[in-house]
Amino acid sequence: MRASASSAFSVGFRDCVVAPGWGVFAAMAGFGSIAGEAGESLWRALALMAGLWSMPGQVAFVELSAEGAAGWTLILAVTVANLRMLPLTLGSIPLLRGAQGIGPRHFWLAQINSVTGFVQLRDAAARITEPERLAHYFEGFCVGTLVLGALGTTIGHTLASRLPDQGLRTLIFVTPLYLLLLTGRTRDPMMLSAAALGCLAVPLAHLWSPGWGVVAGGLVAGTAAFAVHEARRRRSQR
Amino acid sequence: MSANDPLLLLVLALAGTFLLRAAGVVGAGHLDQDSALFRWVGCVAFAIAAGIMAKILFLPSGVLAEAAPAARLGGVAAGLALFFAAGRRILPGIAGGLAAFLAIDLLAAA
Repeated sequence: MRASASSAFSVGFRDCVVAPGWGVFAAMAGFGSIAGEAGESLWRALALMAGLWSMPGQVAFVELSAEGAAGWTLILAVTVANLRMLPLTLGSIPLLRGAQGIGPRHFWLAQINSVTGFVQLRDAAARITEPERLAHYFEGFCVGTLVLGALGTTIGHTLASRLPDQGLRTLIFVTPLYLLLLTGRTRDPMMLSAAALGCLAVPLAHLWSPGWGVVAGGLVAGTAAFAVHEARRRRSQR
Repeated sequence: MSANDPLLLLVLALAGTFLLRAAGVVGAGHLDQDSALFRWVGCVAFAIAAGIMAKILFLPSGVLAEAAPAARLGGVAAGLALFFAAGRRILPGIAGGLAAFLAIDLLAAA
């Protein structure tokens, strides 16, 4: 069992390092450079990265902190920017929960979860059906994103002005492209519809409201896909 | 320690996001994987995840915004085309998408 757990962890870690981890590395290098320019120390930038572990909240904190925003405004803005972590956690943890139910480990797994981790988990759940093994795989993958994220933050904080922009943006392009393709691998038509509608609704809603657009657009798109497919499923059952 | 103390703000901001995640874990403890509620949450989470990727690609901010829109569109189109042509395999899609992105970005900068 231990060997199986450690091998699932290693496979998850390796899957992260093969492609999406370098996109996370590049995105966090961008964050590190923003934090450095805003006057945040490397240690605070690393604490923000690992503690918030969601880019919109990280950037909101650094920008509002540099502007000298009131404390409650800053905390509210960061929490709202990271609101997406609530449905992502709700959509992840049931797949990792065995017969024993929720335990302290699930809070750790929720803390290291991210959009990248969520999409990888939904893809891996089609292959790894045993929750305990899936949890080890997911942990390895997310630890990989954290390690490369910390490396990216450190390099971005110290070297960003010396990295060529073309190289940095090509690296940053890896993660959204990878996750879009990974989403396209799902065989569940309801999830595919949700993803396709999300690709339309979220950017439009973001234009309408940069603060709430991502969550509002996702809520509308996901609910629409769910309603259409549930109605179709009920009709076919009659 | 004042309300605007940098360390206190850092700790409160981290606590706010952790509470969101913790609320998700507690809520997930009552969610049945076969329930309609879990399917709905999955749809919303999937829409958010895919939507964020679309937003990063088509309405980017930061360094990626400096890339030509044609490079981002061409990269996504080439990536998707190779992904489906190769039987939904990720690596050909990533390689083709990145090559197209880099080539168009270099041409646009020239």
